[in-house]
Amino acid sequence: MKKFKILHITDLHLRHNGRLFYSTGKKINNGLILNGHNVLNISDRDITSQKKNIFDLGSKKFLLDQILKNIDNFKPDLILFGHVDRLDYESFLHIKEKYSSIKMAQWFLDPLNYHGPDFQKNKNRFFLKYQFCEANFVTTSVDVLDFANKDKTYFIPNPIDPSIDIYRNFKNTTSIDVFIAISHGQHRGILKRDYVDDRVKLINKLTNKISTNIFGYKSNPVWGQNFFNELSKCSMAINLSRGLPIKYYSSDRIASLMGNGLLTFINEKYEYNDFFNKNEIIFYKNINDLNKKILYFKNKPKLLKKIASNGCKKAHKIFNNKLISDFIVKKSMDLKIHNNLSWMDE
Amino acid sequence: MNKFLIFRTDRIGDYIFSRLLTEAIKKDNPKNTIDFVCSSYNSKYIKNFSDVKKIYILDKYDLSLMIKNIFKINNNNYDYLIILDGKRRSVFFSMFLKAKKKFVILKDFRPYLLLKIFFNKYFINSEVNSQFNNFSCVINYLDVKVPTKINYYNSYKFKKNKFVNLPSKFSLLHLDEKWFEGHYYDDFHYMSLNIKSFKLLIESIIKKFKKDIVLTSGKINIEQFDLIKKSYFKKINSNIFICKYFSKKVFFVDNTDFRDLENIVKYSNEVICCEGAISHVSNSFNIKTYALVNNFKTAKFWTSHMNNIKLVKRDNISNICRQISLI
Repeated sequence: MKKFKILHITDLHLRHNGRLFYSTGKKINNGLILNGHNVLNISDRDITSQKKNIFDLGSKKFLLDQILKNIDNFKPDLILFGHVDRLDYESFLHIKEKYSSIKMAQWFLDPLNYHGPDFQKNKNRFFLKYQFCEANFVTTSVDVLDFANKDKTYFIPNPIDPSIDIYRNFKNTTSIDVFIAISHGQHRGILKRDYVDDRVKLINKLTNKISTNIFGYKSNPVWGQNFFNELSKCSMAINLSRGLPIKYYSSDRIASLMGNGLLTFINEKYEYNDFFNKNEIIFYKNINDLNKKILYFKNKPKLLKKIASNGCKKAHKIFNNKLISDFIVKKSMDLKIHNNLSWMDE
Repeated sequence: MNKFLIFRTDRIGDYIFSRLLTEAIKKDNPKNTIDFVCSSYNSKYIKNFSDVKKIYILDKYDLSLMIKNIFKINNNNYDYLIILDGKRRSVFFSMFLKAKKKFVILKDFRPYLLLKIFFNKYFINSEVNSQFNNFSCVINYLDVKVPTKINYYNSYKFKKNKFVNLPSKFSLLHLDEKWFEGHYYDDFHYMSLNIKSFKLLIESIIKKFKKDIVLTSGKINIEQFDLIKKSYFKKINSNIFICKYFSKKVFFVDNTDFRDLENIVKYSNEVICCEGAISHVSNSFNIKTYALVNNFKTAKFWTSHMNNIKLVKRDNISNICRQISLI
């Protein structure tokens, strides 16, 4: 495998003091290193939050200056952007014009769903980099994005990292039935006042014949190791994402649920049946179907553990961070993909 | 339904490329209306497109015309004002115009303060991306779906074809001013086309395509080309000349305007030309095109979306012949 010098610019959450040690940026970064690439990191938001200057609002100039100095010293083959919303159009153009021989790529995790939250804002954020990147990676199927060119936009699943997603709940006797975690933004950390979205409507209609461990509704979300501690108490989980379902999009939480061995329930409209079968994940049509299936598996603990185990194994196999990072690098550097998994064609 | 006003005060070739936007806007909602601000020269061409509703003339800094048009335009309550030509006069003029959203594509002229005050968004027409991608980017910000292919002529009324006497199968060689030194960019490579090398060029085109050749030219009178014309061609009617020195017939069609050229391109089997408006026209008709370019990077900027184009590096005629024969 050819090794590259990669400048990975993404939020590494240093200012969050370990609260987000399982972030997707970190998982992709680990994957890049495990694949043997020489990776240099710039944590954009940590830089801009530490360097405040009234003459440089948002520290954009400082961030650009840091990036340019890093490129000059490191001379990367690839610059990989993970969100990086603090740079503006001029800055990206400047980087691209100055270093035209260096490939640029971005990964983008937020929903690009016309019927979802912040569509216009997210589309603009994505598009800002899209126009300068040789390859773009999104967690929504490219089939449903009519603004992105399929020749340079690719689907990636939310990565599972075997060094982070280490729990195997199906092996344990758990005290609570269902784990649900939602938030109003991982950077924010706490809930917004008087903000209610569709996910809450579903939570309110859940059967009361089960025990639940719910975070992000009525109680603040849990982060850091507490997230994994709470998740470990449960045998099942409902994967909830904001907005109407769109093909393949999911909150990155799905990686934690499946990757740590919980029996995961997902709305069938996300079309995850392209990756998993009914012996690996549970698809539901609506709230009645969901309640019925949760109660069914509550009463069939052996089957529950079996399916959770199958799902966990499959998810670790096909959503592995090494594979996803390798896919990102190969597509960005225009190299042939040898290990062709189902999601790679999407 | 939205009302769009697009500035395109430069050349016809540039307008043609803007059809990408026009097509996308109309396809998104046929009720959308599109008006253009353009030069009086271009207006004669643009009026042949049925999807362009109104045309406003902006010739250089014609202040009286500008003032007259300001009132007309501001009465129309445009939703989007889009400057595609990046001209200073367009930016200046649009500062006085009302529109819900104003976008501008710029090249080297970048008045940042004015852009921040008077425009919602600006784009740099940089060669880091192709022109197709740059325009696609603007289209995306209009919330309109980007077309994958340009068809310039969906709503176009072609001129009546007056060249019915030309052969049914022919290769088109378009010899405009871009072939001749002193009539185009000084820093370009030129082909030293003269009476002697013209013979070599024609022979190699015949050898490659085995068809009659139709020759056309641009609007500028060029001494070298007049010499070629006098040496090889004989007039057969008011604007068609013929040459019988070669194994196939070579016709020269004189006094053609751009709309005539579109017709000739439309009926040709292949086109050999310098990269520009003609190669964009031939691409739209999906006709195989051999386009002479000064450097491949700049050429890719204009041609990246074209499927049926072969790029030939500008060089002396014998090297051009060699390149064409090898493609």
